[in-house]
Amino acid sequence: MIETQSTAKTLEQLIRDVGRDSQRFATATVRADDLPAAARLLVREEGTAFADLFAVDDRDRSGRFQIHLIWAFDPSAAWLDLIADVDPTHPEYPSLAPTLPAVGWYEREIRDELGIEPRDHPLPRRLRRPADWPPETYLLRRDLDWSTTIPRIPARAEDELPPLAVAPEGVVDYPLGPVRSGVVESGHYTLRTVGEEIVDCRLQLFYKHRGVEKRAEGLSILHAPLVAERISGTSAFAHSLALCQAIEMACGAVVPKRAQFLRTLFAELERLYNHIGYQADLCQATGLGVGQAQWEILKERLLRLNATVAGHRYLFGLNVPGGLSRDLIPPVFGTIRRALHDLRTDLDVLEPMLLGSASHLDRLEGTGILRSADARAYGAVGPIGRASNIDRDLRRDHPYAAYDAVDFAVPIVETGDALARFQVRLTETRESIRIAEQVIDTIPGGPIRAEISLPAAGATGFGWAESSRGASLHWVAIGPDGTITRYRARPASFANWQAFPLAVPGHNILTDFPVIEQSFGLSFAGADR
Amino acid sequence: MQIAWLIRGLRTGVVTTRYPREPETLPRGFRGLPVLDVDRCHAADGCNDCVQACLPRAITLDAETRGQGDTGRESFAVSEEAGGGVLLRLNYGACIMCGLCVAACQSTAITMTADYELAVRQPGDLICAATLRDQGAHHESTASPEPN
Amino acid sequence: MNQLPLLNPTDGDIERASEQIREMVRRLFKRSLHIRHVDAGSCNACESEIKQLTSPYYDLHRLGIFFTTSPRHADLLLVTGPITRAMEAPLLRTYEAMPDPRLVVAVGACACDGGIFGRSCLTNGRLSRVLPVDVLIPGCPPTPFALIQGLLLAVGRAEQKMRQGQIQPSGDNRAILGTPSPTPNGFSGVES
Repeated sequence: MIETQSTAKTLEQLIRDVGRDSQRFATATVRADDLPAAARLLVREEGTAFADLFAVDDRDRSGRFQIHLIWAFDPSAAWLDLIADVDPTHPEYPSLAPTLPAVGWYEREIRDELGIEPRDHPLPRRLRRPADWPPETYLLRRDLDWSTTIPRIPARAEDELPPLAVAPEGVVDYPLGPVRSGVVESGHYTLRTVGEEIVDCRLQLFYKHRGVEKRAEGLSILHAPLVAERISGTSAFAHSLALCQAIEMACGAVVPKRAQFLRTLFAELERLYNHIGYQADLCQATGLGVGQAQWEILKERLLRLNATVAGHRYLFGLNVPGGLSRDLIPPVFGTIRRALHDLRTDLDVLEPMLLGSASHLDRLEGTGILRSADARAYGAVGPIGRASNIDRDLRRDHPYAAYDAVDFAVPIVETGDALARFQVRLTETRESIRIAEQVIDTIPGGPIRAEISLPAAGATGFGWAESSRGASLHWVAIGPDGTITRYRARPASFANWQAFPLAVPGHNILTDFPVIEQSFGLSFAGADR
Repeated sequence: MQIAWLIRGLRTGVVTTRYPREPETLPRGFRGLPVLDVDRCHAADGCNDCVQACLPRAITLDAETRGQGDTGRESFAVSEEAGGGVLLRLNYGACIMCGLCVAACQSTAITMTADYELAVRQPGDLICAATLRDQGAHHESTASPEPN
Repeated sequence: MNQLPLLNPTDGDIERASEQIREMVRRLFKRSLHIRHVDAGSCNACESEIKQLTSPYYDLHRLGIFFTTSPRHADLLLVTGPITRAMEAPLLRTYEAMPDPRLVVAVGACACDGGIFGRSCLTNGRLSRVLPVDVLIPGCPPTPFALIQGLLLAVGRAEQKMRQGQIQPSGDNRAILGTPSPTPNGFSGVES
């Protein structure tokens, strides 16, 4: 995929071009004030979807800030990156949130970390920035050094979310977290209940904000994938794959075919252990202990398989710019094939048992319904979106690695409840095994790593991968000295968490909450970065 | 349905490890612990390939103690040996076992083992320090760690 | 044996007394240990390995070790992550809610010494900057076997194998010292 500048004269022409020409990553510049109009045009395009919105401190090069609005064109497997310049002395632009509810969080993040104000944003409050962090200290501006000690200030009321209205008689607010029950990630919920029924869910994430994007600045392209892997360790392969693909686009590198196939294989191995672990977590939430134990056994076997074939249980250290760091010898393919065969045999036994466990299904059916319209408005991706009738999957719609060389189905369910999310992942597990087997059957020989030559003037690139939780998008800017000047990571969980609170109210009782949370199966680390 | 789960459980049998009563070895190729072979190391001749490759700066050379103002890694006073030489220090507390040092080393002086029993009570025990004097120096642990 | 307090304890006396107390604490937890885990900003790989400990392959319960949700019932605080700025206060509150005696264990490269983050504007980088740490378990992430060894080390049921940065060759390759056997009246009290 080559990044090109369009020759279209108007935005409408540009959109038509991108909608026609396949496999392009097109960039175009627009005025910041025209962004809402552009968003309105794009929203009307059939089969397209919002992908990412972020900003870059480009003052070293152009003297300006840049806002990037990235849009996915599924029918033509293309992307459009609209770039708007912003004057650093008056950093603001008209908010896109009224047109596109999905960008709400993205604009708050830009506001927090680059200080670019979205005019008329419905909720201009801090998002990722810690409560005690001075508002005028902008994390992603290049003049802030990663190792600086930032003083703590008292939290300001005008920057926090407005407090929930005082609970009237009979209404109880449950604050949960950030330290929560069990071995779980840190995050905070406030559940407002009337009797048993939950009427509102307020989310407070970003306790785990480590500044991953900032950390990558100044790093070489060999070190950056180590950072990408540790955004969310259970999506390590997907994130490092997307980042490496972004670097490869920036450098114009062509990844050898064998590496593409191997990447596909490892990506599916990652999806498999995640989906299997998801079933174990869901059994834990519904109280099916025997089911939980059986699925945990399967997950452990897959992690041990990863350790045997890749040297790491979570597939860290495999993706490098240009391909992979290690190859697999033929006997290893035999090991993987046998493991997949055993897995399928186990699934043939366990799936019907799970589907026949009334206690398990009863707790999932009708619980935590995320309506299709809400899922679409808030940009839900991955199995969560597909369980709410959003028919999108990066592997099929924007093929990368070797996904265009394998055959697989993408399950869609319309109901949007916990049962739907459970069903989608069950089917995806089967399809994953099929993909992995096809890769093993058809993998070509050859090198597994291409030479990377860094462009002298610096370059930018965009990469994507469908992680087990959905679309993981990464953008990178490499400077003339070959180090990263800006790293943008948009894990799937960041998109999906926005939709989560919408699934909680609506005939769900308090004890349904763990089931809803586990049925989404999202990553806090991915959202917080 | 409960019977089905029960039967499945009985068929699965016991998969539980007996560790630590019985040792468990991880598969060959597992990235457990990078180990230094001082006899092959050329740090004293000016090589610092592994130091360049290490992102968390778990491998450092000479007086590169990481004080509070820097990345803030564990810093330990090291007694100076008369007669020159280079001090190479591996801090296993910061090591992420990525293996880039192994890949970068041209002399096969660092190899990855599958060791995993690395737990310690004192952070000083996670520091491996070696003074290297030209080629063929033997290992002397000159570190006198002051636990934090 | 009860020792009368010394009137003018030397540093050596204090050190010896501290070690005796630490040994007593370890023995208290030898047969039953309750762990409260806190995620202070991990990438979630460490959590995934910790969760595997209660899976059938590892079955932490066979060693008398359990996870508890309430810090008031916990003996040991298990911490993952590089201690983000936002999690520092909740982590401290959890520690303060734990009754004495209590142990603290750092899991993974991030908690041991900052991992890829180190100390920064958003991360403390090392658990020992925030809390007193009894055991460090390196790894990225440490495998469940490594976690077992670390937890047993914390309660004196396993031997430390890494000294001065080198794995000690052990005679019979076993990490464990031996589980304590009950005294004739069925309970193992604290020995002097």
